[in-house]
Amino acid sequence: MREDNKIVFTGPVGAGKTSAIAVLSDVPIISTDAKASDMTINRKGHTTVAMDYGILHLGEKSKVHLYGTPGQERFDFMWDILTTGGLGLVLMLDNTRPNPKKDMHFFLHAFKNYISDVPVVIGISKTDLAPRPTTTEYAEMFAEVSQDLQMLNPVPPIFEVDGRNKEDIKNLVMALLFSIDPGIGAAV
Amino acid sequence: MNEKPNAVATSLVVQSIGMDARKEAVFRMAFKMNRRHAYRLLEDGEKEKVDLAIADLDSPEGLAQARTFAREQPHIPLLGTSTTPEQYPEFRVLRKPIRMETLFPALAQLLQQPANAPASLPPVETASPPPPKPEASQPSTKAADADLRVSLSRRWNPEQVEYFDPDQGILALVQRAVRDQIPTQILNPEGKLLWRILPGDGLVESYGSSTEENKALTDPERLQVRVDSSQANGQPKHQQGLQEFLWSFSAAVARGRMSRRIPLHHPVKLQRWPNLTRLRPLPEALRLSAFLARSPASPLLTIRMLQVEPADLFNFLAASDGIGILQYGPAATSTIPSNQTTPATSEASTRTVEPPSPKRGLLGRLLAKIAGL
Repeated sequence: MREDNKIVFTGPVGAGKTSAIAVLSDVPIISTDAKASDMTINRKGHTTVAMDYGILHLGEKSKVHLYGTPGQERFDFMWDILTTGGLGLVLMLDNTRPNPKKDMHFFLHAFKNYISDVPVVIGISKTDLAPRPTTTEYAEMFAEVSQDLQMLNPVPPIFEVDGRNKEDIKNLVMALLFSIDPGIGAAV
Repeated sequence: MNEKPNAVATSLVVQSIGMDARKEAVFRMAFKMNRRHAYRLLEDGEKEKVDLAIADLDSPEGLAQARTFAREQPHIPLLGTSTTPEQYPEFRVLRKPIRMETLFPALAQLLQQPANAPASLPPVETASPPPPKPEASQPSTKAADADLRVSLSRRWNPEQVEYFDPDQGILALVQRAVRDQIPTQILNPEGKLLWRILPGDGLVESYGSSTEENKALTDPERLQVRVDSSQANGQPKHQQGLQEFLWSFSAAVARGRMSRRIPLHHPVKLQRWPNLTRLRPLPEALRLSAFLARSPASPLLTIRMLQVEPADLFNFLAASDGIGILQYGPAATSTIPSNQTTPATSEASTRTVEPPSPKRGLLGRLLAKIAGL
């Protein structure tokens, strides 16, 4: 049996993808940050220009690769490569950005083929700085922006997260795993 | 000792082709949730007779493996799955994403057709009422049912469920205050202010210590409720969102009991996931959210499928109902195709359930790893 052990983190610049991978990875993440040279500089000084990479080791023989996509849309040619196979998609959205609904629409549609086959979970970051939209409002937005999508899990988890907070990221990824199979780890 | 229920032996055995662990997990769960037929995925190392096969034609090896399988075992029906069914005219193909309402009619149709049917058969792409299952394939037997009942009775008896009435008592008062936007105070039995509920602001202010709050939540029916007519209450120790408060307060009132408002034998469904990273943790909340957001299931079925403690499920349902995201009655069942439903009364006695494995290979190990971080 073939196993593609990969989780992909995506979302706009500054949403916390790199931090989330760093929280989970067993090894220091391989990050391809560079000094921002475009509009990104308004949001953060350095940003991921290729991808982030981390590993979760599961015993001696198997591991799960954690990939973070670059946030800028001009790197979207890489996304298909990153999403070949895999367990699921973690979409991180930044609540301080001007139009989170547009971001949600963009990333869900950019990965529309992928998420017809794997579950997606959505983490909303920086809600301490911008409390609206709330997760309830995101759920309403999601219903609108996903109308034309065929999704494996059409009612995905939408959680407030802090990318640096281990418990938040653990819960987000565990929600992804339970979205694949709610029966895993069940007591018998 | 045979640890598997007899039901397993009477299931239709399905072989997966070209699928990874995650895709197999999706089918495994779909088979468990199906209410009419007993399908079971052939596990690694098992050598049982295969009744039918499902192939992922989009995977790198799937198409070649499916063609080999069809050539070598032409008597076994094979269902392909693909995002582009039109590319594979030699197979009967179900379009992705796979849904319960299309998968099972497609499998039923497949069993009705000769396995080596002409390649020009139209692809199975839409749901249609399933034809009656061949007599020989009926999985349920009296022996299996008896075995299942014995197995369940060791754990839990649905007839001994304890109920509470959310439309009476303190929870009803709090819900009414929220609904009617009336600022309200909750005091402990000694008259000390613990919470101010401010529905207009979507906030709840806390005035007690965490010890006092926890103590109050162990027996919430002893708390007092009164309209908040005073503005001078001193400084609150902290504040929380109204949803956060209603979630934990509803679970505390439930105390492992089932809400009378929620049907035990009929489907319930989550309208959306609760924001679990910002709500008081409840046991099994992630698993239950995933299960009940995916498709409707009765509380009884949920307990049996997920092997959760009934008290944990009842607390979760009460909390979800408290924040208004639980659907039941017509709202929950309207999303279930009629061919996927069975009368509630027959649910417990006719369906076969395979207990979930405690360890599901990669996913189980990954879950354990992340939970232990």
